Amino acid sequence: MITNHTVESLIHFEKEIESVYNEGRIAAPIHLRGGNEQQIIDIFEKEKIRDQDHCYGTWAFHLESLLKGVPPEELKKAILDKRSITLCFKKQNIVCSAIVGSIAAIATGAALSIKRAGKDERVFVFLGDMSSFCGTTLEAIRYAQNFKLPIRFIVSDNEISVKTPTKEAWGLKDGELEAMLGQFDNVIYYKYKNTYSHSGTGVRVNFW
Amino acid sequence: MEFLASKEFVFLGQTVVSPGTACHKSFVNVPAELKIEAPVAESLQMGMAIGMGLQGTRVLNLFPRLNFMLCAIDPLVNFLDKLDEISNKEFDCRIITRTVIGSKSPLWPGKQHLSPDFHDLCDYTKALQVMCSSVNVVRLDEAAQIFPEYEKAYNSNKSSLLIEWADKYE
Repeated sequence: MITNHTVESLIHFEKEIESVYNEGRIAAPIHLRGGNEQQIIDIFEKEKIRDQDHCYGTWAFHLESLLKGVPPEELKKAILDKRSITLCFKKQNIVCSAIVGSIAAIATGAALSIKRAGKDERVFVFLGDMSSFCGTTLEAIRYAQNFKLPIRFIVSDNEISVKTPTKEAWGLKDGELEAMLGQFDNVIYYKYKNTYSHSGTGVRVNFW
Repeated sequence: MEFLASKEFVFLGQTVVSPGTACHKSFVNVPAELKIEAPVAESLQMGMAIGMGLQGTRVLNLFPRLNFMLCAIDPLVNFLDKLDEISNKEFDCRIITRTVIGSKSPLWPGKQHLSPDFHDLCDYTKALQVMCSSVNVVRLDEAAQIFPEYEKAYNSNKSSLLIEWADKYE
């Protein structure tokens, strides 16, 4: 694996950001994640994600950035600079967007270029359950599968989008999201319960 | 388009390979290996063009009608136009998006292909110029503008959106 991060070190980082946020030092949105540390570590290990590979993500990308090799202090600085929801690091090939679903298409284009150039690089795009059901995301998954692009779509299902239950909003029964995504060879799916609230830290913070 | 083909651009879009629109003819002399026919999925196409651009590929990204391109505004405005700021200027993406304001004669194109401005044509140039602060949005009103503006877009370190008129094509 690129780094030696453990479940404990990932938890420690998010706790530190939570603390800094609660002190009112980050006057911008943050999306903390917890409860999925082992699953993400497993994915980085099993997929053998390398330095030259590319990781695309959403507004909640602290843990994945650490695992891709962004030094904790550099990541913390970016978060303090109000860039938590759009983390981008050229050196580690990380690109994020805070807009639901659109990053899948961008990542697919990157994979298309990599394939056309014959490079030894792969693309990993990390999405939530609601993002995975967006029209553009499903188009991207189908396109990438049909053209055998070097990309994996990793869906982290915490069953909720902000406070909207994904399955209820889409009229899905238990197991139907997994079954639908399971049709695609290029999708990796896992379920977890986020130990943080969707945004912020769940406490009222005075920024003034 | 031969100028851009000589610069190893990749041409992505609807009717880049297959016939069916006025601008298809301009791709006939582009080598087949540089052309990718896109499915009808405008937001996917715009996102893919951006992703290719992030990899350093120079892309000519075609939408054969400007009002079709409305479906692709999200990645254009929310991502490409903001890329400098959200990436702390670490990434660049230099794609050229080409689109066309449809004609209204000899066939009336239907209400959805029209807009209520003074031309009575579907021209959202001003709206796009307001929405984009980084992407260079230019409407090519005269034939003499076309080559210089494509050359300028090719040399620019920013992305461009060039809007043409279908009425200017045979």
